[in-house]
Amino acid sequence: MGAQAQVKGSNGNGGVLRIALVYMLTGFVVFLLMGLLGLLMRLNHAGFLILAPHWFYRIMTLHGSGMVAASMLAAMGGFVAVLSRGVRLHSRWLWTVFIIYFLGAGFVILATMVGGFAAGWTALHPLPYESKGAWSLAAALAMYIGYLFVAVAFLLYCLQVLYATAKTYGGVTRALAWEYLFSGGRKTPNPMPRPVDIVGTVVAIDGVIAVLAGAILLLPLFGQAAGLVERVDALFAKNFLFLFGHTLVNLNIYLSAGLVYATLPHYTGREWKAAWPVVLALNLVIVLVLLPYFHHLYQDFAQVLPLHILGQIGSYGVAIPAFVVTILGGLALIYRSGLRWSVPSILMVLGLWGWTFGGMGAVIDSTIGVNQVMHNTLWVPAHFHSYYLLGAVAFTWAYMYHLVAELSGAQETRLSRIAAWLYGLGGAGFLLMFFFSGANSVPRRFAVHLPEWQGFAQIAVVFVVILTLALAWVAIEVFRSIRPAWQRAQ
Amino acid sequence: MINPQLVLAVFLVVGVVWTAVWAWVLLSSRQTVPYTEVAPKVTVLRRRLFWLILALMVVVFLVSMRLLPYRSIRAGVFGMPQLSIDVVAQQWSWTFSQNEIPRGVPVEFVVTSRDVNHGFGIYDPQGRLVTQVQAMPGYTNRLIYVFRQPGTYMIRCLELCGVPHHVMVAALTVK
Repeated sequence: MGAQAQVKGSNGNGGVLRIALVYMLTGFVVFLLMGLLGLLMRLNHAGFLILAPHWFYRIMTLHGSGMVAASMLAAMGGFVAVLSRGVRLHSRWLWTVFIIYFLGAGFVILATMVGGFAAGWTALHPLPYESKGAWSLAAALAMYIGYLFVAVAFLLYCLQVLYATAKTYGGVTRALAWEYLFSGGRKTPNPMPRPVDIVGTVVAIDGVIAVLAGAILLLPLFGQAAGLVERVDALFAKNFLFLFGHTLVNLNIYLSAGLVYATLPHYTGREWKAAWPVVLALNLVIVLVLLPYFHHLYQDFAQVLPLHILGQIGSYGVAIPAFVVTILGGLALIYRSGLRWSVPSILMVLGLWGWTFGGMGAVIDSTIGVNQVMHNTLWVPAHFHSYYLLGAVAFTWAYMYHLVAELSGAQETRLSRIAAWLYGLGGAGFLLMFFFSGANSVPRRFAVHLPEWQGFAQIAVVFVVILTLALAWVAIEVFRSIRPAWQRAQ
Repeated sequence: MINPQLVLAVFLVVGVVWTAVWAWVLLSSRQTVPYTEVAPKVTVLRRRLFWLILALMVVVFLVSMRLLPYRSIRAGVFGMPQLSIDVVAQQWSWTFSQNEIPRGVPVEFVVTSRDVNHGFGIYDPQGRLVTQVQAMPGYTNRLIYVFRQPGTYMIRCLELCGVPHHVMVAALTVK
């Protein structure tokens, strides 16, 4: 395994590889646990299991926030592993990030499972402070403190990435390849950053902005809890909540897409170069990723009209570089390449295929006239589950499997490849039922479904079981190989 | 108004085409050719796709502006409201200034909330969501709609507003 030697010896990044494994495996385990909570909710919707409403909403809140946290953590881990092959990162800093992140997750678990907090991951103000006795102020504050810790951890992560790429290439603009970009693609005397370096720099810049938005929201919310602020405006809170939350979720996708840039070439034998369109697209993302969040507020008619319009333009705009550059680039890398079929390549193919469905569902729903009859129906979880489960998360698990196999030297079996395909089958069936439900006006975030809605969930459960079995097999394979992988990641 | 079933149909058709594209690309991947043969074609395809998608989005965007649910646009499409109904949301009930609505008349719902955010979602007698607006504390949102079909319309809260959120239901009668 020549690749093993390369991994061990590259830039002395063994410490980073180890913390990357910790991030990814922790994220994977939390993802599996949160997935089981998701199964419970779908069983409840199907009428196969009765959850008391207060438990349903607690589980839903933990599932939403936990899934985002888990996939983000795993993507952050995978990303530093690929970044560290060309950029010097500090493993101690990354361990600190991990501990703070984990503390944040702990607070969220405490808030929901012990404190009974059940306002959804969005925790739309003022609901957290006005539950009518369902949970206490302490539970709401625990949730917010959990978010604060996670945000601080992500901020530290972004600063580390930004510092590292800027130091390697001699400044932020060089890490973004601006010289190359603004010269129209001419060769420059300075070293050209890899696509993954540009992605890292872009994510880090937007990550800092997103965390600032979170801070602008959390400060007055803490102030209100302390009696220092009389009332936090509901529209202000919504804007900053979604600027924070929507942006973080999107950055998760870009981190995961960065893993594809780095990993797909191993299976196609073709390098993913930082060509001019790629550099342009990634730089445009810095601005474009901040605009679509307005689509969460279309039904808040009090918001000024230009911001609604900007939301639709931004939502359309951000889809173009993702499709034309990353997804088409992936297709081009695969086309007549003699693709080597393996668990990671299957997952990346599924991810590039499925991400488009999520994106298409999102673009449709971001059209204000459509959103009128789709907002807060199951169409919404349909599209974001698509670009997570069959997009970002598939990319991350692909890289995790790739790295663990590369480090451990473990050989995959035919059964593993079947499990990877079943992941796609289970995921697609499960998601399709969400789309059908949304088109039939089934509301999201409902603890109790009417009998006429239950059929969709009943079919979905079958596919979730397939998905669970596939993931269980992949998990067994990965965890069997951890020890040798850990030992070799020196 | 947009029909969600039609939206789903378009989504599925595009999805099938997209899946066929993938099947073709994956079948092609059995062969191996140098990337230098593929790259120029991809450059051309990328440029064309960019302009095609951009043009499509501009057209859809322009057409969709007619579908905006906001007061000035709806008043233009449906006509100025002839009836105004006050709607107040509070955990976990709805209060209306009147529950009966005449058919075929532009109605304006003046919607607010006494406590947290709620979603004022109107479901027709067939159980389809026909229009909605948020009920927000500290704000008043105005939603214009014309009911063409008589019957009982269910109002469902579409924004999580506490543990009994899903039972925050009411009915309006269109005569």
